[in-house]
Amino acid sequence: MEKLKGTKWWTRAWPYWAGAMVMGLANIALLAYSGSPWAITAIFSYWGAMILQFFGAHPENWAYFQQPTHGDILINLSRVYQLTLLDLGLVAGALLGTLWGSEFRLRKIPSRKAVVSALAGGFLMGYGARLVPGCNIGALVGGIASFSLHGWVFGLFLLLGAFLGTRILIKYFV
Amino acid sequence: MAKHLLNVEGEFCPVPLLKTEKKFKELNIGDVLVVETDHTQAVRNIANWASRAGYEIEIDELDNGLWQLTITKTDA
Repeated sequence: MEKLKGTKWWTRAWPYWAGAMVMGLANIALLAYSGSPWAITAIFSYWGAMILQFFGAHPENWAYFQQPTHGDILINLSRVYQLTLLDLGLVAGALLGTLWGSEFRLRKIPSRKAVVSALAGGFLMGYGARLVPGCNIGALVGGIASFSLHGWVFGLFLLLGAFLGTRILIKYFV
Repeated sequence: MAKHLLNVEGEFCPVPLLKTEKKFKELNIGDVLVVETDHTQAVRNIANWASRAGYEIEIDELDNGLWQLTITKTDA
């Protein structure tokens, strides 16, 4: 892979195990510092709830926010700030990564079909992540790292979903 | 010795690799496929696929975040 990108370690493609180790260590550091593992998608439901509350709706009465983990957050906002900061950090980190690798580029949108499928896929992933609850990070990485069975169950169905998704992709997009 | 061009700009994994593989099947031995992609991971998995299959591949960076992969269909 040497000819892929320069010789500097931050522009070269890292082997997967190196990336996995850095992610694991960062997750441990975050857990030790904040008491909770990395989470990405939960915050979107809280933002949504706060927007609805602003317009006078009462999402705090919904079954989802009756669960203690979710209900408490709408009262104790410090977790909202923490999760918001984590997501902003994710975007900032990704931006820094592409800038350091000199890979920043405003990507072309290939077609209207791509826009529709991206929005539909995003909705399904977001909705699914809130049903489970968790995404690749909250449910899979956090689950397996904390020796919880749900991480493995999530992983199994993630593989099944990826298998089916790839069939659909090959049929309609390749 | 025909030269084919495949532009997959804006496409995300695994579409660039799948399109490359599909297009490659139509090529004759000795033909060259030029793939243009703006997806970093696609450069990596197309290069992995080519070297595993034993095809010659050359990677050029045309611009920030834009790559041109030149793959020759050898008798591998």
